Amino acid sequence: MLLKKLNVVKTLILFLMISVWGFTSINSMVSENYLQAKKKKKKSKVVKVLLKNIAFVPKIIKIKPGTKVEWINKDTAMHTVISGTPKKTTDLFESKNLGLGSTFEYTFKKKGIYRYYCGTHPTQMKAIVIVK
Amino acid sequence: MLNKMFNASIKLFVLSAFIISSFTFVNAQDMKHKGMMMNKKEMMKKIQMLQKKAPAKGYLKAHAMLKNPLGLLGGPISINISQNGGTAYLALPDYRKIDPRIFGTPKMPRAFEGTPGITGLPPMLRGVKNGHYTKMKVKSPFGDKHMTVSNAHLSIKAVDATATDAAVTKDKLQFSASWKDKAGNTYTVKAKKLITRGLEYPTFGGVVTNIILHGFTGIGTPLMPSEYTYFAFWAIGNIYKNGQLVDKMRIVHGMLTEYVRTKGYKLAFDDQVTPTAMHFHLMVPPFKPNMKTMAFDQAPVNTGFKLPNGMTLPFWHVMFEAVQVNAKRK
Repeated sequence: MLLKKLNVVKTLILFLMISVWGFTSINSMVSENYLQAKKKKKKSKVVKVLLKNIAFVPKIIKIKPGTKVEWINKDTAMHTVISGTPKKTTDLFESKNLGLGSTFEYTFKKKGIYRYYCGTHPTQMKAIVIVK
Repeated sequence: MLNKMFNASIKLFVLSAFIISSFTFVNAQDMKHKGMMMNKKEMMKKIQMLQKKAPAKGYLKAHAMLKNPLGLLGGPISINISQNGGTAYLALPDYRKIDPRIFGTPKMPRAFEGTPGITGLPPMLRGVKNGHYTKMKVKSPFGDKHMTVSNAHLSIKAVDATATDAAVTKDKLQFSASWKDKAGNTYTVKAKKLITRGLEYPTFGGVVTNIILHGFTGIGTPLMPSEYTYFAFWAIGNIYKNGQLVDKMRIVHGMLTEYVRTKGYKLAFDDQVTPTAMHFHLMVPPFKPNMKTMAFDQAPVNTGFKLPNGMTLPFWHVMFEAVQVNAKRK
């Protein structure tokens, strides 16, 4: 009888230990993920460029490597965002056709001077991203 | 044999020259050569035949004398469109590429009836390669070539109240557009009076909202792609250069449509239209209505704008890209 009771207590303790271990490891995993995401969020800064009145606003932006640039079309006209110049595209990025309110984003990882333009209005809309 | 071929090619040249002149607006003075005048009659007949075949003639006849047209379903819509400065895009004469979805194939041509350039495109003006149409053989206001102009202003206050074509209308319009060229000249187009009914296609009392125009519709030239049109008007108006009247009583057509330009500002085919953007088009065509024949006569617009080749641009086709739009049911 006593032996039976002891066995039950042993099983309960074992179960409790496993539960505590499981909970703490899940908890640590979750908090680790949360911290990582928070860190990532802090790291990936977003700089916004407006497509407004047939122009990129601002025309020149200076950012650090790893910065994400988000272009937002505020015109009723259709625009695109294409890397390079109208004479020589660089195939780095090219948005689809952007209607009113549409957005396009690209993360600049390496240092450099990046020119881009609007494919619909190539003579009017040219701009530069400086990454350093 | 050689002589025959020579005569045939001369004949073909003379015939084409007339069509080209009526379409690309070469000065009529150039056509006063005797031989050409003889063929002009022949060509006039052909053009008149095409004009009589304009598909909407019957519909237009039913509405022409209407004195009590019905109103717009749901009530009148008031529209305000403006652009205050910035760029506008000026279309230059160019060879329009031919969209097979609109114009068919040489074996099965479509969209050829009506005044050339207004409602149709005669097959003889279409280039052909490997059994397909390529581009127009002559230049028109509808193509890829363009230039930018500055200080572009647009002011539109309109009401769409009348639904159909009629002799009278409750539609209203105040329209003014202006822009500046690189030499500093300012060009202005002002509308004076609405065209309440059409000659070859309907004008819906002068102002229309929320409809598809051009392309496959037969309403307006098929050289423009089929485009959802949020607002359009047809009016008679005047043309000014630096404040001076340079032409009057011209057809003035404006429309706010979904976006029909593509990469490099090329004029779209139907499958390249962008439905999520819009722009405003102003058109002053090189034609005048002829109330006797109930069709259109060629008449270059005196725009006062000199092209690099010294020729005066014979039409206005201007796109306003940065417009503010407000509309509501009254």
